[in-house]
Amino acid sequence: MQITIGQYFPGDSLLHRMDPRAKILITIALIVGVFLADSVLSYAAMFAFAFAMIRLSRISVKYIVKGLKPIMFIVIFTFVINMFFTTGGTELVRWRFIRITDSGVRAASFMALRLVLLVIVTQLLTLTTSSIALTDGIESLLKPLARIGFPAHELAMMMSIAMRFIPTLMEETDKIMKAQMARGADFESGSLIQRARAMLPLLVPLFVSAFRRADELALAMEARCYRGGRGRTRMKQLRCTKLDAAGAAVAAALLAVVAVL
Amino acid sequence: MSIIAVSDVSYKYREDAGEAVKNVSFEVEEGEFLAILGANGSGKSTLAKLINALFVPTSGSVTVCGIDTRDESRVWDVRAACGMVFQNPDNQLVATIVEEDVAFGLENLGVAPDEIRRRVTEALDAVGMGEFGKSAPHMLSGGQKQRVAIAGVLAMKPRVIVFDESTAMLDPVGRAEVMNVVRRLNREAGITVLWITHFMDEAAQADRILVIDGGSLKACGAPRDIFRQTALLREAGLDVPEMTALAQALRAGGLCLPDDILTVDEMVVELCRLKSKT
Amino acid sequence: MPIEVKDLTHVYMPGTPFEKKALDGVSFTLENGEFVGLIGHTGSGKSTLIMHLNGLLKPTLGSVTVDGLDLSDKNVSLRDVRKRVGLVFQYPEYQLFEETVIGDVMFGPKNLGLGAEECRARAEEALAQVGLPDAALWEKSPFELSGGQKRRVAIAGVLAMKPGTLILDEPTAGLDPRGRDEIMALMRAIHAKGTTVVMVSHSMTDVSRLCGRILVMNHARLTLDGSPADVFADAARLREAGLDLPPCAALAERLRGAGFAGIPGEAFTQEALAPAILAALGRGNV
Repeated sequence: MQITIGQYFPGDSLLHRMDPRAKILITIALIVGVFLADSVLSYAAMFAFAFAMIRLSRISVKYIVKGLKPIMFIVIFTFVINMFFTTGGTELVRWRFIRITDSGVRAASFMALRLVLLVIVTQLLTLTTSSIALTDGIESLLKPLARIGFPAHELAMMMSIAMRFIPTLMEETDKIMKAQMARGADFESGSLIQRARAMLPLLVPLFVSAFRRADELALAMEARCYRGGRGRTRMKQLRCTKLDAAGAAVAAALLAVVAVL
Repeated sequence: MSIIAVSDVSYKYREDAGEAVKNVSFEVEEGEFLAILGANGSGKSTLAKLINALFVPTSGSVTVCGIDTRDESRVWDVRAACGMVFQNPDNQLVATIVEEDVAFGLENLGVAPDEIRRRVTEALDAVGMGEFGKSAPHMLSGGQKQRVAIAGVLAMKPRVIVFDESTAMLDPVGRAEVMNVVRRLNREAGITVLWITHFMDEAAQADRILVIDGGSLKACGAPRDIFRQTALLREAGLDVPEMTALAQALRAGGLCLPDDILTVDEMVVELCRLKSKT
Repeated sequence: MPIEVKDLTHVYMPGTPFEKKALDGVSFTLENGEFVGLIGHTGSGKSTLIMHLNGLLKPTLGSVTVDGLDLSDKNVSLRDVRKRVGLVFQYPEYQLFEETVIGDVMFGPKNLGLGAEECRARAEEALAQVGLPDAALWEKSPFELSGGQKRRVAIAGVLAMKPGTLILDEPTAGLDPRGRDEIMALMRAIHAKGTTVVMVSHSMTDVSRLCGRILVMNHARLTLDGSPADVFADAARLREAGLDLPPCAALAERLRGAGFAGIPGEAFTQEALAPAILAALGRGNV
């Protein structure tokens, strides 16, 4: 029950104060940048930028690194796969069927760095933006699409309700698990199929409860006059400031650098 | 004019099902604290939803603040005038931050942002949750969550609030918290309260009690008049207050006691009076 | 053999900012055949305590011994423990999952590794015991039942494991008076068959009606432990734990203070108090 990765880290830094829309757009730009980067220098620039952002957010580097832990397996796995299966380039090592080339090492390193950068960048977004600001930002960004029938408001509402209920359902999962364990259920041993079957006593009650909650929530929302996005106002108004413009400019500059290098 | 008029209302969930509410009629005066007392499945929750226009009567009519709930064009007016707080505190909070949740109803009504901000602060203060505006709902206790839910309704400035078993899932501390807030809103802000419950001690605090069983109205009157009808209460699957039951046992044993004793204090006074005579 | 709890301390999330001591040096022994009420506020440690009694949680310090088995011992199989101590959680009906009522009740016995016939026999017996003897209902989906029936099916699911000790966390929560009386009668019947019963409750009145012994928790500690008469005699400490006397016990206390003679400490139920008052006013044994 201690999933803290990417969860909002309350604060009042420059990054925290930026408009969520600006942050989302900058994050997207950075993700593009990550995929464009194809040289040691451009990666260096990206990492330097990421490091500067972390300092600006006033979140400790240690905390961010800790957040990387769960994906380390994927990073190493990608690294290994890329190293062994990239052909071409000068051969460095050859042992039985294993063959490592310099371009393999290069592709593998870049791939791994790419993943790490992606996680740092998206983590920074979610760490400095509350889920509500995030969904507000997404809704606002998608609003132009509403004119062609895209359900921007509904999507944002769904996201924020999902986030509201994640902790509730996590607590419930823990409770149901304990209750079934008290009836002798075993969630930990056995073959894969046995284990999948063993999840039923957990999943069925969990889904039944989620549906019941959804039903009741719908009724409660209706009782509070909810009738979709039309005619709705928001208490918190999003406002872009000079700060956001500056952030966007810096991100654009970085993107240009990465693209050229 | 009464603020709510329920006149000969019946309701069926499905065409072929039995009536969940049968020929119920009553009126509620503005500023009244009315308890609706009934066992599970007695139809009391259905009745609550009929008053909030979540359900429309199969026959008969419900009028809230002069608006007939069958008038589809004014459903939102009914709901804005008559708020509702439900049983499960977890399943009625929408937002991840308390103040955002309180704002939800006002946003739905299209109120201006500055006005929303002002009313949210006011409503949270009114339920004693002013310092929790930035908290996440899942970090609060049950009683606190229910008070946030009340603030969410209160911010919409309703004239009536219907509480549908809003304390059933709370511990004694939470129940007391919610009860105190509601009584204060009723007394000080003049909000009409419909309090649906199966807890005797809560109903005892109302101005008037309706007893409902099998979808029909069985009795209606002041708490004292209702509680002395022990046979009727037992029939409806309800509790009899302990002191009233004890008083009856003592009367059967030959003591001369009034039949409407409700509290320990009253019992002590009466018994001491008898003792001084012997 | 009894359950022995010794200096039990439990700390949640040690070493984090969320560190919380939920139990602090709790010690008591449950003898066979007792009916014990465990009472205290939300957050007083009741739920944490009962989860230690069948090994769902491990002590941070101290020990829990069931029938001589130390639950902290790695060699003690949890199946062995769960056979002895059954735990019914709050709102147990939310844990039903099988397609049929009988299937759900058989889940526990199956996990104990019993044969199909034995499982079925036990499930039928348990369902009859909770007042659902109608075989037509056994083949229904548990989700079709009424709230009160669902709860009884869930209790049957634990009873079918035939535990020597049954622990119930607020078994009457959310029920109306009729449903509450049914469950209380059921617990009385289970206890009468020789099972040790522990009932966690918020209601002093319920506990005073059923239990021969009351444990009161306050701020992670066991603050009172004794017969209802003993516990109600210490009204000051009860209030410190944020609890009130049940109405009849409060009345008895007030009457004693007002000079009524011969109102015993045991007179905390209406049945016991009425004759005592009549006697004190000279109307007894008429």
